[in-house]
Amino acid sequence: MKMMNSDRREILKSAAMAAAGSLVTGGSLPVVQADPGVADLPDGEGLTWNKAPCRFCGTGCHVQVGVEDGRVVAVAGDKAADVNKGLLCVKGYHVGGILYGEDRLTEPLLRQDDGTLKAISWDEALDIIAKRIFDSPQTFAFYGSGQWTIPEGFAAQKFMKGGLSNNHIDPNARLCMASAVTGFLGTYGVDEPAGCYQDLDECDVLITWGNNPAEMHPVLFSRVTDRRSRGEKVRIIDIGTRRTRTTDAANEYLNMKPHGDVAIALGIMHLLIENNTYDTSFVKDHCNFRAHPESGKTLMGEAISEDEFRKRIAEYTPERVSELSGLSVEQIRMLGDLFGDRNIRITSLWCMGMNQHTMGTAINTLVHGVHLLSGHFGKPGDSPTSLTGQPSACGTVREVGTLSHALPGGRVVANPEHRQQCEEFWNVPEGRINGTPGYHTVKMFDQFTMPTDEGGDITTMFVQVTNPGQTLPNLNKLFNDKEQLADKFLIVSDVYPTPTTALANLILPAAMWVEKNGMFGNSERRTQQWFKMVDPPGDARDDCWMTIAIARKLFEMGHEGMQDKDGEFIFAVKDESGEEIPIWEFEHYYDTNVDKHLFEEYRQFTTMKHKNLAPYEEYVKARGLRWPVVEQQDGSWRETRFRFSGFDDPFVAEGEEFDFYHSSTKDGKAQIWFHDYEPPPEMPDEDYPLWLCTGRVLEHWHTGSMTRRVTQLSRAMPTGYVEMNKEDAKDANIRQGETVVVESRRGSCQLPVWIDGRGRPPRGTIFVPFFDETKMINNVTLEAYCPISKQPDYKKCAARVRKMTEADS
Amino acid sequence: MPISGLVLTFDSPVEQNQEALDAIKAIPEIDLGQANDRKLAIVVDSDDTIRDREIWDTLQQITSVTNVAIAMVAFDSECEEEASNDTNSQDDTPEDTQGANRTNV
Ligand code: SF4
Repeated sequence: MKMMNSDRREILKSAAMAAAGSLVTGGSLPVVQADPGVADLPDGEGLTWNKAPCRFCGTGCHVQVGVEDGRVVAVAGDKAADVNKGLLCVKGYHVGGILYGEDRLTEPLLRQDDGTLKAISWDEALDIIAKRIFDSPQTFAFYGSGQWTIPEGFAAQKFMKGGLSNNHIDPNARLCMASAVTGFLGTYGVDEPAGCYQDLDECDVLITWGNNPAEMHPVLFSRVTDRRSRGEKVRIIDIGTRRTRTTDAANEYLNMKPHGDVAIALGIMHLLIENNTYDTSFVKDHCNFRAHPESGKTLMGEAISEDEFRKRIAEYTPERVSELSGLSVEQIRMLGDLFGDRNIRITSLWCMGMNQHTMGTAINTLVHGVHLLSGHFGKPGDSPTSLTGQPSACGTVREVGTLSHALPGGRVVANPEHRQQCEEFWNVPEGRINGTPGYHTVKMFDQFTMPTDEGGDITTMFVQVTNPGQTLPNLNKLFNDKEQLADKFLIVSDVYPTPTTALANLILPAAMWVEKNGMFGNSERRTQQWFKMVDPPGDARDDCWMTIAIARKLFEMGHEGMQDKDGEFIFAVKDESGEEIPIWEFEHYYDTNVDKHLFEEYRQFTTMKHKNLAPYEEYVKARGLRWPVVEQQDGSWRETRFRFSGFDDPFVAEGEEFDFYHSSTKDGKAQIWFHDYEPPPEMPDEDYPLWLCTGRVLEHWHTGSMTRRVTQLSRAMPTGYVEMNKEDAKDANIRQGETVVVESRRGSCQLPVWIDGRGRPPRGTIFVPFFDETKMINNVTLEAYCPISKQPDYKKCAARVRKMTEADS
Repeated sequence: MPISGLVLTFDSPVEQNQEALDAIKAIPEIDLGQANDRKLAIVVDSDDTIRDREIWDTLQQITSVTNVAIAMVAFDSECEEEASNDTNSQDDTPEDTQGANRTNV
């Protein structure tokens, strides 16, 4: 045990007091100032410091990682990082602890017929996987995540689409931000936010749409609340279905019914037109109108005239919107007036509330439409901005395109020209890439857990860096059935045992975070890089290496797809003398920087949709760079804060104020969409009278598989719970802390009740976080999804709460 | 020697909980910080993880304290040892602290 000197102890104590004090006085700010004593600690005496992005949320804070004797011993906020300027939230402070849970997976494990697990060698594991794929390459599926690093995602993508000609690759990000992607595509013709975090520093009004950044993106939210403590005026309007810590910091809370957001956005647009307060010149110069054709819903829809738009939006009077949304007519008029005022700057923020929605694409395009129609767009502080929950949902999933329909750099498999471009970059024969999109997540698991003789045509699945056994909706249908199916083979690479490894046939021990090189891309288009700092435990290895090693086995078995046009291995890396480096052998994997090779290959794709990236070495020097990153005449590289805006975006022609240069109408204009309101797919009824909403908590990251291993975080939030309204609990004779059964038509879950807890749901509503694997709320949720994005709705279904005694009877 | 910044939430405004405040003040490792409505900031600076745990349990058992939240913990090797020790524990309270109820492979 090391002893702390008294100065350092005092510094840490005052930092701890400041942190606790900020929570108390700020009401909702779980953010702490970087400890200057830690951040300024010099290297030496065996202690070294290196930068890395935080492992957790899409905010993308940078940390300084202190390493001593091959072990992470300290973590500090990185003061040089523009994203967080030295701040970290409570999870970020404990990020080092996630490496050292006692039950790390350290060797490949193969499940035996009697259900037990037997340790096997890596070579045996790779042989088993390669044989299954070789025997049936088209019934293999690869399921990854927004925690895949950029090179990991790129390798998986190339392996599947450029190697196996198989598009059954999808990420868990389908469950969290697919609707944001389709919203951006439908509106601008290209994905990802136009603005950046600077919008939060400059807005006069922040509207959170079903979003709780105070807990989910705490450091980001602190940028807004810190402005208040400096005396600036920022008005926060929280539109939600329950009160949260964000509500505590808000000036106004607007309680909407589930799906009310769609009506509210339509109501704002109605008022902008009715009051003639919309931005006529912005709309005339930069926007078109759009809606779904009568024949059905499509991503790009069809053009409608402004008159047609006016006619349709006229139906959404404040009175009707009030009825649909639950807001008062005055509240809707207040929002209409706000957007009609161009002397203020308005930023909208959203995340899962709008994305996990059966009208996910619709509500995303509608909120963009509100900003476009009102002209609150493209100036610092005037922005529609979606956030991501995972550290590289943007960098890996959206940019590398690890979705079943996509290719790197904003290309899609269905487009022959795109396929040809990718085949050229990958130097694989023409026709190698399959033109039919693969299965999206829900379909993929449905096919995997369906008996083969009933049409379940996915027989082998490889899951990396995610925990679908806890996160899929309606687990009884989409995951738990796997247990009965002897011919289905589940391979899971992870760092700890999870509900997914519990059903796995083969478990692979993975390296995590600073145990490997990596690159992430955060919510503001910022690409970040870090180096491996410590060794993984036991025989745990990099996910990227696993993909390459499997590919190599297939290459050696003679699988043609593992060869490029010249007959070389598709992941061949050569040294300066032209000799191939055997990176598929783990002892040689770090003979070169594989991440750098893959990134430089991937970088070629990024110019096609103006998502240009700089060379790898630029990211080594920086705390991330926001794309498009373009080279200047002096050889330096310049990032972009505001896309499509002439004052900052290098791809907007000189003198132009705006240019939506990937417009789907090819006229430089964005699309303002109309969608009719539709009710949720399942509503409370006599048998299941409550709305169930699920989500996350501050202390735990997603399924808690990492954060529940950190004592301090686990203590702070030890167990899942159901939040209930006080009156609802009283009516049902349910007491604080009592364990109850939460159930739906699909399944049930036992949880302790928290009344008037951190979140306060209105009558008729309950909330359950999904971080606790011992209390699987996704047995209860619904798998209905947005027809365009295929993203399921975890935010609303019909449920009931029963006392244990009633449930028993 | 863990150092942590905690936020205690009471079931009523802090100043109405004199008895509880006296009990907290009586713990020598605790420094009291700012209070606001039902919330109180404190810092715990204990000699070892066992004592830290005792203090944590004591705080949680105070009847009028409804929640104990961590604002910051000094992260160093001691914390990891502590985490490792805790995962071996099978008699943690509350019932679902880590270790006892996680997936086994
Ligand atoms: S969890 Fe998110 S907000 Fe917290 S430190 Fe990490 S990146 Fe920042």
